[in-house]
Amino acid sequence: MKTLRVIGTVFFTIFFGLPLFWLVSTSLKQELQIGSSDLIWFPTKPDWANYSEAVNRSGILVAAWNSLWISTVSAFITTAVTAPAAYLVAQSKGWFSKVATGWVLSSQVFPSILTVFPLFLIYVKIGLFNTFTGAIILYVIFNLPFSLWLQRGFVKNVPTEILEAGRIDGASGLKVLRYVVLPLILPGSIVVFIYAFINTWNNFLVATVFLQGNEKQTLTTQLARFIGTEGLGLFGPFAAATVLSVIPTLLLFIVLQRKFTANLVAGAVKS
Amino acid sequence: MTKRISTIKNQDRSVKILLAPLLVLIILVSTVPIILSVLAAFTDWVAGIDVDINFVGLANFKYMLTDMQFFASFKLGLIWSILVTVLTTIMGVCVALLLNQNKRYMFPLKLLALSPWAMSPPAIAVIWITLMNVNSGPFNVILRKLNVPAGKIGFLEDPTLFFPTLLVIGAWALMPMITLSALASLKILSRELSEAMDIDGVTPLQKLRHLILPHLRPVLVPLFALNLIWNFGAFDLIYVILGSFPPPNSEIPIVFAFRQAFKYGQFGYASALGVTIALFELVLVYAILRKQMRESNQ
Repeated sequence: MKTLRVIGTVFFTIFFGLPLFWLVSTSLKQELQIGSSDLIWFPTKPDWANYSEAVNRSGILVAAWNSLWISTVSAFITTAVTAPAAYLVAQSKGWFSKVATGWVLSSQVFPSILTVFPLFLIYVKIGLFNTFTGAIILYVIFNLPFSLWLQRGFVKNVPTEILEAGRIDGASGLKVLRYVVLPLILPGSIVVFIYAFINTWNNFLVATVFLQGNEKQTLTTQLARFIGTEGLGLFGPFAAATVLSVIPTLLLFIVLQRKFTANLVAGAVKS
Repeated sequence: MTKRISTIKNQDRSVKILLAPLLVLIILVSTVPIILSVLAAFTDWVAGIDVDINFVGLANFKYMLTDMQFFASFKLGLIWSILVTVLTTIMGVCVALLLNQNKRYMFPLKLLALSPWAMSPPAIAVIWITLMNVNSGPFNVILRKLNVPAGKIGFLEDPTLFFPTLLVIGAWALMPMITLSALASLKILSRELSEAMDIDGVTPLQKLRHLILPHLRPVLVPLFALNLIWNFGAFDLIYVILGSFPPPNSEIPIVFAFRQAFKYGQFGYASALGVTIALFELVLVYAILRKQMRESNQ
């Protein structure tokens, strides 16, 4: 059993580690070393030229800025609307909560591609096509189902006595939400924010269909363009650009993962 | 009593008003497009300005039944989805079992195993295209070092190797979700029961079979069903990788439908394909989850 465990650990460390290691190593190699038929695990003299070339390439910096700006705004709006929505769903026992749950479930089952064709035409008609506003609206709505599910566990943990005390004192729902619920579900809001940011940063479908202008590219679509148009000629700068695109989400993810697991555990225990 | 309930309802009204714009947006970008898409499936809608749209009944669906390419892609999608879901589930549970030891050196492996979740499909594509390269990819270099004559394997270029390579990439990229869920579920596994079994001399294999797997089942079955349909519709990853290596007949149905709409402008036909795919997915999920719901009711 112990040997099995060691073999498993070694296998999965290589399986998950090697691709990342090779990416970083490629991004630090010179062009000759990349094309070399010898195996160079890691360049003895790391060369940062690929990074400066990736940054100087037309589009990458603009795309990074677009990604950052769209992801931040989308994550803020998602977090801001998820809290009251989760509160309402948890509070109401009637049709509203059923409809909301039904929507959350069906949005997971329905292929998003099915909504993309007509949405494209609607967006062209009402002038939201190729605008950041239009893309942000889509990101918020696409992030919402899972965010609601995440936040629901936190809202449920708010003791009903506290809510009722606030109510009997005559505070409006908005006040209860703001002064009682929001501070208590702050951890949930943080989880939702990070999830929404990572999800938006990495989204490809929305960006590739709804943001087609050259100056509207995000990092994901810009990378995909490189793969598509320039093929494989420029491994070094590609790898460098990919490393740059992965760093922000990876950092956020390292912060998130412990809370994420804890939240999943809480949800599992409850149900 | 009734009075109090009604004031509570009134109190919540302010929150509802606050969220009304959100509801409008959901209807606009989520509900309306689905309805339109279903309607479009029965028309001859093609891309263009001022094109007449005519109701054609079931013509799109009839055409679909004769479209051999769609059938091929449907079959490919099924095989891809089943294989990658089985692969990720088995491997994900294995990783979760490994990680579920309170040992500090497991932490880096945990971060590694979950890290693909934080990466975009194009980033994943770049990583694997670099790794699998004919000339400079480490596998090919090592094969050449070992004097294997076939040290120039086009993992992504060779039509017979393309699909297996895609499965490996899929397993790598899609596993974190399962690992994370299995790990969360293992955290609430009764420690007392597990330790009691150890003392009673139960072998690890028996423990896996009689304690751990039954414990994981209620989490894994719905996750398996969801993954099956997600992977069937895993658009991004395959679309990006296909962008640079399009071997013939390698499109899964979602990518096939996407090309019909955005490359050939066949919105009506693409919608019919989309509706078919959605119906198929709904039936699939219902079939798997109904069985489980019945079991949990007993």
